[in-house]
Amino acid sequence: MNLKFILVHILLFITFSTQAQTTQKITIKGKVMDTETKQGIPFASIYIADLYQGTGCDMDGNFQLSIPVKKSIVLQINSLGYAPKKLELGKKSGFLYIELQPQSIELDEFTVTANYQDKIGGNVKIGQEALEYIQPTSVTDALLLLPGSITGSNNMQARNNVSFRQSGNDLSTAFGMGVTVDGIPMSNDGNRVQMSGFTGNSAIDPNGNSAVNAGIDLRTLSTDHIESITVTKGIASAKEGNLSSGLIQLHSKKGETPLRFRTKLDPLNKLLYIGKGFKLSDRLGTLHIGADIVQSAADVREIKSAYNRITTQINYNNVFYWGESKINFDQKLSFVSSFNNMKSDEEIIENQEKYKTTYQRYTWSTRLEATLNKPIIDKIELFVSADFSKDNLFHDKKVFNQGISAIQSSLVEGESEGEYLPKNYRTSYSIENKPRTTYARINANKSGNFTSHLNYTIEAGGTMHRIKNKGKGSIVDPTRPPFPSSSFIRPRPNYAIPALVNMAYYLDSKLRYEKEQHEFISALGLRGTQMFNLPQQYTLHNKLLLEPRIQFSYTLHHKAKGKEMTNTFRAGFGIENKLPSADYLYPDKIYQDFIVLNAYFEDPSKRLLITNTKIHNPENPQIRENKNKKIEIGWDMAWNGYNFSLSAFQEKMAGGIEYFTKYIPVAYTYYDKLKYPVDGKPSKEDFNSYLKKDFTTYNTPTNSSKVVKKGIEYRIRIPRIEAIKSEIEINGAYYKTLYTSGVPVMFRPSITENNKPYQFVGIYDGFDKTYSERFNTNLWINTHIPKLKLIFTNFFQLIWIRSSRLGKNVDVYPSHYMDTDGIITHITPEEIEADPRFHSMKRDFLSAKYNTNRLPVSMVLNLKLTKELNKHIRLSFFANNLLDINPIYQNNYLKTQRNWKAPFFGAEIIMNL
Amino acid sequence: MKKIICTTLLLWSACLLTYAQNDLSLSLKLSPESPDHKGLFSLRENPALIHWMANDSTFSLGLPSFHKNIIRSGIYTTKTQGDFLFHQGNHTLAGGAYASGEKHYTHLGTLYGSASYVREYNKDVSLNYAINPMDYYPYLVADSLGSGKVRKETYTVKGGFGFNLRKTYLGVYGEYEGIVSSKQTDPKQSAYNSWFRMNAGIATSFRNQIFSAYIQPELNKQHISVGGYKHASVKYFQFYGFGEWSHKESKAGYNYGRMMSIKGVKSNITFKRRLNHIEDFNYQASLSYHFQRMDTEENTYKNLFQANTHQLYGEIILSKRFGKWSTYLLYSGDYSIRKGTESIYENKEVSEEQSLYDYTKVGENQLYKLTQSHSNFTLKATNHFSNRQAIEFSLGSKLLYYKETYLSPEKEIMNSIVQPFIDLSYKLRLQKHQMEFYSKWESRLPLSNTFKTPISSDNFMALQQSYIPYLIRGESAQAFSLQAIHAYTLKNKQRIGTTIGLSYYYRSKKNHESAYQIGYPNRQQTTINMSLFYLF
Repeated sequence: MNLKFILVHILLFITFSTQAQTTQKITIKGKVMDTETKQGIPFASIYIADLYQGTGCDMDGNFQLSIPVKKSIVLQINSLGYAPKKLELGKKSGFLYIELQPQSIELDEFTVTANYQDKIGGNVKIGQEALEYIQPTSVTDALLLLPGSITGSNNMQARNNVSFRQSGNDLSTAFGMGVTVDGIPMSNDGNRVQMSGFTGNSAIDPNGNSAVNAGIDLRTLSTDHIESITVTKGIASAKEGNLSSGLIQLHSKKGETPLRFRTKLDPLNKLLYIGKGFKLSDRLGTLHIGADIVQSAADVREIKSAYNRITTQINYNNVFYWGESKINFDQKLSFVSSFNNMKSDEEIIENQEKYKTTYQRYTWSTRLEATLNKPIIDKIELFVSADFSKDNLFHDKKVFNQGISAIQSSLVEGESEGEYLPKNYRTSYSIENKPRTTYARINANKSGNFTSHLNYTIEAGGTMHRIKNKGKGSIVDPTRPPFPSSSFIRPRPNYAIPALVNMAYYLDSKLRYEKEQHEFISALGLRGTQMFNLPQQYTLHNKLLLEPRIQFSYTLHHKAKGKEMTNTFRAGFGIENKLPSADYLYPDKIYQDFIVLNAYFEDPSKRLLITNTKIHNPENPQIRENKNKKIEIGWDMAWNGYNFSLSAFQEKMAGGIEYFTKYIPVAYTYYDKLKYPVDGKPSKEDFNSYLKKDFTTYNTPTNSSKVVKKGIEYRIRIPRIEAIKSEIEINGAYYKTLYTSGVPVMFRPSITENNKPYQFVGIYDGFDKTYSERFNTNLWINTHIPKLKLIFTNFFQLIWIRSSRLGKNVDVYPSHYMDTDGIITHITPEEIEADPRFHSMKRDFLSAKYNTNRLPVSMVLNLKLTKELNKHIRLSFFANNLLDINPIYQNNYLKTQRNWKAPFFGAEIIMNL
Repeated sequence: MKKIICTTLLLWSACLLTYAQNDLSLSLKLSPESPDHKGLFSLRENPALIHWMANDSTFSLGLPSFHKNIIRSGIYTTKTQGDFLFHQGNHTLAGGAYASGEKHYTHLGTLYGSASYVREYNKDVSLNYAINPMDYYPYLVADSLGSGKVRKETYTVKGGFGFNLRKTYLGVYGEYEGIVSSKQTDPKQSAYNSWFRMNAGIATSFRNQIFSAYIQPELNKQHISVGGYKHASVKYFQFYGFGEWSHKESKAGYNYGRMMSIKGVKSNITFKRRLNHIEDFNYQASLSYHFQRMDTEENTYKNLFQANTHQLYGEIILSKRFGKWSTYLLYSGDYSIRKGTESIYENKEVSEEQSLYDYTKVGENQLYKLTQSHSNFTLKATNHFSNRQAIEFSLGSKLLYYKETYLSPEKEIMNSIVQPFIDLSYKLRLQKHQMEFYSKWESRLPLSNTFKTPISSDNFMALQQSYIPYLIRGESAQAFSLQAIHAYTLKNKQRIGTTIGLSYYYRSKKNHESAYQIGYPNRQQTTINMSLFYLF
């Protein structure tokens, strides 16, 4: 129904919009200048939030914007290095001269909080002033400004999963997080890690760079190249796809800027940045070049964990005129690399091992935007990008083999003669990923008005995304496995895996009706996504996945005590899909070698080892996208600088992909005792044998992870209180999150009976569920004294509720059991109690395991101080956990404990020359 | 001692407040120990007085003037042969940068502040995990696996704002010092330490007297985290004085954690004569009381040790100028007492049904006491025998007293030392160049030493923790130090310069004969420091 409604709406919309071309438009022309030099500012941006329309200045700071006629409009003018400005215009305006002041704490308007402007969604913009003020080392740091965020670890070392609108975190959310840089999506969906013990493991290299199935590693994105960040926690525009959790949009620095040095020091991170924007000439445009270097450690005492990154970015921008059309041309090259890649710790030194991780990423992107102002089309944009990453982990290690293990060499099922692994040996393995990503998007835009009260914006476009991994994948010597076990993967090289090819088409429309004090906005979007190049048996093969997204808002404008007051009520529904990664789509076969005959003699010539090889294919052609259904309602109120905002949401992700452990029965001939004494090397015929039946396990990707997020987010902003020279922001959230695995629990007691492993696997009704809750308030008191060029922030974080509980949702007694023939039989609790063979299948855990682990109310105080010494130098200092009130409490095991927060501190110097 | 070393760079930076505006303070170096500079340091503890000095030029009459804006970086190294303090190690290398500034805003107030960063390495540190261990002494924690190299980083920021409401001067001040230390060899150890101090000051005048007072609450937190990898069962020793310990084995994960905190408050009253003329008799006196409450908490939440420290400090400075001669007299003294409490916990069953256990406090002891006192008496004379040259001479003596006692079993460690010293310095100021040379001789003479502690001679750890420090405190020693400073004047009174310093300390006699076969007869310590500075 939703889908039909959207399609009908959009068709009507297009019909009306083509007839609406005769409606009146006005053209705003102007020039944006530096207030001191009176020179035009290249590429300053002009945006009208009400109309969702904007443009950029040319090299001389000139701009021109055609918009539907309105009583009044508010222009927002931004440029890197300048204080943002808002300008209200009447119906008739001449050529505008707009002056921007260089950014300085000395200005009254200097603001360090996030900016909330979106009337229909929850988009939040973190502008350059706020971004600089929070002294970020990575993008993750900036997210603290958003409601519901809590302070995390102080390092960028640990590859923490991004947490969005939830209490706790999970891989599905991290995997489904969309990240775009200047409109180009970032992806590591082409990466694969297929090696016994590490398959699909997002934490294979927690201290390095290699990552899989956990989304983009935000540490690789330097905030120094970024002018602003827009975060969408709720429903994203239909333009954005292959995401399910939220969207982080990064906007790169561009234009002409002074030479900037930034250095940040704290106990875990050392960062140095240098960058400058050059104006090449009026014809040749601008070039912004920047580079930063970061050395980061997870722990000051760990040598192995040092994470080192160097990034560079070159951004070229220019504007051409072709007839009456204005063409914006952006080209960007960026490079990210790890350095000092040899890792070491005492174990590595003692065993003379080598552990090395390397990471390089080269990205080229181009954007062409033509402002045509034609009857059918206003603007057309073309994005093209190519990205090449090289991600390599190499470990030369020493193996100390305990017990007898076989060298796995057979490539076919059945018995074969094997060899014994030596007790100690040196081996090495490497995991190489070289994903090459190409991306293209075309986007057309049209806006206008049907009547003087009703205007629209419509965007349509298509994207093509191709990722081909050229890496060698896991390279392991099967005769000297680095982690000996009975299972072994003979990995396929990554270059043998088909490319991921996704295409998407979208329509996104916004309709705005405004009359007197009433304003209605609707945003309707539809996105269709297809995965090509998949094997035919895959469910997702060429399947069109539709993602409708609908948002409405109603705003009431009126006066209260002589000041304008607005109340906005908004609601939205959307479906977002995250497509499976190459690692999930193409897991490698697992070879399990069961030792069926083990005749070990001191004399090597007499030894006989026979293994029976079973081959499992963990591929799951039924694997689907992870679909997240989002519902959101909200109320925003604004009056005289005060803002109040409340959002309630529910998100259901029922198809998160995870590697699920599957039990299957196996049977093979087992040879145990010699029938008679043998002098030389025995043969298997010399042994007694019997058919041995057992279970084995392997991991297969399934859509079994389920996360249900519910919550309320709130925000109160109090404008500057002159008596304390401070503005106050209070935000927070109540999150209630359910994590569950949507497949039945299978449990095999790890006991032996009659010298045999337990012969049954219990299948239990209900799913393992974890209930998690959190309610927090973040209070920011930003004291700004322009005369002293000083700003400091008291940040209080109060966590009122933080609890988690393991649900008793899985029955203690199995409803079915599987025997070693693979036969599944129904069973009742009475039958289990009556038959001693089944007693062990009763899952009887300590009841304290199910107690709620509830933490007491806690508070931390962080302090941040920035002083502008002169117009060139700015010095900042922060002290986290200055005050830490974490009372003692009893955990679910009735142990008294306290959550300590260690003090953390650091300093930053920014020089603009 | 270690704290002193760690903060030497900062102190030196504070010393370089410099540059003569009048002939009384023809100096590139301000020293908090010198009678002519000590008064300025004491007054600048109160933010209200900093504004007063900036707002009213007559206030500073008789006080040295100085450049308000400084950038400085330097290195420092000290090496010890023979006995050394376990928590300090025998070799320290440090380097850092410092910047400070002050700006007066007419009709608004005075804003001032400083920031610094110091990186430091200490070799052969043992038997202590804590940063600034004397803040928590004797309640330290360590393992027995030998010594290691400790790396430290110190971040400091200080800032204050003073203003006046007519003739009443007010000010607020804040200071944060964060230190992180780490040892990267097994068992790996890290500690995060922070000090946060706030200060609210007030000052006013009555006739020719200036009265001021401030109150300064403070909060310290230190988190220690230790993790063993190689050694499956590391023993962690929780010391409670005299080298004695209780110990626990490491559990699964081989981790140990402790949080320590100090909550304190300092109050001060100062009064000073306001001079009408440079040759008026000048006096200044202040009295401070400082209280600190220290708590420790294990990662099993047990608050095993607490300590309360009371400190009283007073100083009197008298000065008089006679033509080219200036004379100063300084007396300062402090007395502190620290009393410790040891808590006793028992692991009790809290749920019989689920067989769960938890720690419960069952008692406490108050057996430990530490008493210390320091006093300093100094006379100084300065002769400005020309507009370009001055010579300074000072002599004095310090008296140091240290006593630790434990009630049951009865133990006592006591040292009483007198420390006479002589300083001689020469200053030369030319057109563009300014040079200063400082020399100092100091002698350490024990008056009385007592070590009544039943430690067996094979108890190496206890001897290292209590006996060696006792020997060092009570030794006869001689110390010499030399320092040279050179500054070059750029335009607009901006200056760049360099300092170099060398000091040598040697034990002339180990003042204790005992049964312990520990402690070297000879001990010597060499210190070199260098720095570059820019004054503007």
